[in-house]
Formats: sequence, C-alpha cells, structure tokens
Amino acid sequence: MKVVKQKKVTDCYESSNTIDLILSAPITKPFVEHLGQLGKLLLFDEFDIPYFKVIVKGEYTIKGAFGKKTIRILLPEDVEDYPLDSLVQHIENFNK
Amino acid sequence: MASFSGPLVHASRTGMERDEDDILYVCRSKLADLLNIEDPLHIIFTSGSTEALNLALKGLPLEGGNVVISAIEHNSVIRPLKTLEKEGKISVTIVECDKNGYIEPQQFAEAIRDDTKAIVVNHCSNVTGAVLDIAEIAKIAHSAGAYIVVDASQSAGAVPIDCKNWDIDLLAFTGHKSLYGMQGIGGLYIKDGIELKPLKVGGTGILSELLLQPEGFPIHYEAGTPNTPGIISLYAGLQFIFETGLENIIEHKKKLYKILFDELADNPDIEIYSPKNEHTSYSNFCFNIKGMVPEEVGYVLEASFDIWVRTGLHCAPLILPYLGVEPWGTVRASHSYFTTEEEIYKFVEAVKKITIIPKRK
Repeated sequence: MKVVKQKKVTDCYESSNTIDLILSAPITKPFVEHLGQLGKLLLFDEFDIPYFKVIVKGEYTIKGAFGKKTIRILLPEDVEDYPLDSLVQHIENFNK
Repeated sequence: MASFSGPLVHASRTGMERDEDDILYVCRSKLADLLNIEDPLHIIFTSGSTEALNLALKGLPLEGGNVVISAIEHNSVIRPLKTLEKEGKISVTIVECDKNGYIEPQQFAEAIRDDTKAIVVNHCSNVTGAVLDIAEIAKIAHSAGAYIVVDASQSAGAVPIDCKNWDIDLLAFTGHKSLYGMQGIGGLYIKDGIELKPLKVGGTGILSELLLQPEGFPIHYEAGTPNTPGIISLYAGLQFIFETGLENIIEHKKKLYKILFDELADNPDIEIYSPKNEHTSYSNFCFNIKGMVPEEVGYVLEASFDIWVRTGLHCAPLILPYLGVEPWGTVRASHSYFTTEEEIYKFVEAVKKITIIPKRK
C-alpha cells in the first residue's frame, strides 16, 4: 500500500487538525487489521460498508471504511505539522 | 419548456422585449407569480442570496441607525451587517430564538429601538427549518417606520410567500435550493418606492449614451452581462413547481418529515432540533447523535451508507447556543420532492445503526 497524497481537511469540526491520506488501493479487512496494530481497533462491520476507527491513545485517531481509498487522521489540536512519517511507513509496510 | 432564441442580453434591442422569447422577462414573470409580486420588473437578478442581500443592506439608507436581526440569520446577512457595524455605520440587535430556531413576532417588537431603521430576518432557518411569521414581523417593522428585509433563501419554492399582502420591502432569494435552478442565480425583489444604492454600475447593453447608470427597473441594479444559463435553469425550476403544484411538493415533504419524527423522535440516543409543530418548511431534519460530534455522523453516513448530509455550523453561527450545540453544531439532512419514502427509511435505519458507535469503547 502506498500513500499517494496527504490532504489537509478544512471545515472539519471533529478536529481542526485533520488530514486525509489518499491510498493507492482500496481498504480491505487485512489492511484495517494491519492499522489496528497501532492502537485500539473499533470495527463496525454491521454497517452497509464496514466502518473502522483506530485510536492511538495520546497520538491520533484513524478512521475509514472498507472499499474506500482514503483514511482520515484526527490529529491533536495543538500540534502543528504533526509528524506522520511513522504512520505512513506503517501503511507502506502493508503487503510490501 | 419553450425554446428560446439566441443569447440576447437585452431583448429590447430587437423589439422582442416582454414577449415569450425574452427569457429574462418570462422568468421574472414566473417568479412574480410564485412570490405574488405585482411588477416582475421589480425583481433583480443576482448571483444568489449573498449578492442580493449585499445589494439590499449596503443599498438601504441605514447609516446612523440600528438594525434588528435574529439568531437564525445566515452569514449572508450577519457578515454584511457586522461589517457595517465595525465601520461604525450601524448598530445591530440580535433577537433570540427558541431551541428549535423559532421566534415569536412579538420578540421583534420588543427589540425595536427609536433608531431602528430595518428588521432583517430569515424567513426559514437553514439549520432547523423553522419558519417565521413574516407578515406579522413586517407589520411590526412598518409600525416603527423601519424597512422589512427578508432572506427567503430557504423558503422560496418551499413554502408560500406573498410579497404583496405581507407588504415586504425587500426579499432575497437564491435559485439553487427549492427553486430547482442552478448555482449562481438568485435575485432581489424591491418594493415600488424603495430606492437602493446600486451595488455595481457599468454595462447595460442599452442606453449607451448615458455616462451614469440608467434609472428604472431592473436595469438600474443589473449592470453587467446577465447569467442567462442560470436564468433559463431557474425558469425550468419554476415551471416544474407550477406543473407539480407547490401544495403537492409541501405535502410530499411533510409526509417524509413525519416518518423521520415517527421513527427517530423517541430514540433516546438522538437529539432533534427541527420543530415538530407547524412552524417548519418540512425540508430540514436537524439532529445530533448523543456522544458523537456531527462531523463523524456525516462521515459515517457518507462512507458506510452513501448518504450525504451537511454537518457543522451551516454558516449560521448565532443559532448554536440556543440549540445547545456549541461548538460542534449539528447534522442536517435535507429532503426534497425527489426524495422517496424508501430513501427516508434507509436514512432512518442508518442513523439508528450509527448510534452504536459511542457505546462501543
């Protein structure tokens, strides 16, 4: 999996510090389980399209849905230019 | 729909003025029918409500006076007036709303001061869908010698409007909501006898010998090339409303609105802000899921159920404390004549499923 683009999300009130990561391939269950290694995985697979959140305590929250090519990262409000290198590395280690 | 000849900027150049080939006049006439306006030429085309309201609020002689607005106003009213206030030209008084966005007309009477020059009011809240009694508020304004300026962005084409009998001075509308037109077209109705300072002056296509903006309606306020594609789309939308019948459109939305309340009002996980009574356009269903910020509700509805809603502040920041939804705002689901019962039930089931999210820790 590759991170194709990072996009700052404006007008997002859940966190004013929100980044969308555009991925090279659709999100699958194994990929979500791979992300789940980073923190606590909450999976809502009873929804029409399964939704997930990965809460990395004290760091950030990842959320997304199966089949999409974007994950949303809610970052701490007070940290500008939050370093995402290790997260991007973790994503790109999937199916390497 | 009739086929219109040529992209004429002004039909009077060719002697076609006011006949069925002049799309500008035909569209104005349809709008006049819908909004009960005596003279269609008193409808000015603009790019939307924001431009119409800027023309109204910057064009009226408000300087040195007070303007009464309400807590349900959109930024298209708030920002022009707050800018005038910041420049020291006016003062602004804000009338409170209830927890559904409704305001009794008497509250405006209580807010009026000796120096109040206008009441500027949203006919229908774009957040909750609450509809105010404009006829009564207009009487209050006029009895105090003030103008009544109405923002009908949400209500034009959604609920009946009667400019003549309600004695409205200025009414702004946009084409891309319940009038079923494209984005980029809207307008301002100006009552006979009211003079505004034009927002823009320039080319008119006629009376080219004049070095100042020509007088008279609508040309005094319509400098520049008109948005003919937008006007054609607006005309088609108006045709649809007249063919379908506004009462049938309202009845359909009312039926869908009732399903939403029947299915969700007693759900302890859901907070509803739209009025359950008759003070509503039946077009907006404004809610939150307890324990979730609205943005996440919108995100999950879109990502997991392919349902698109608006979340956040809805460009109407003053209403938030009255609904008790600071700082995150609300979720707003809007349905139209084209929304089916099946789609409403799908939405209901999706919302019910989503209520599980805050419970799973």
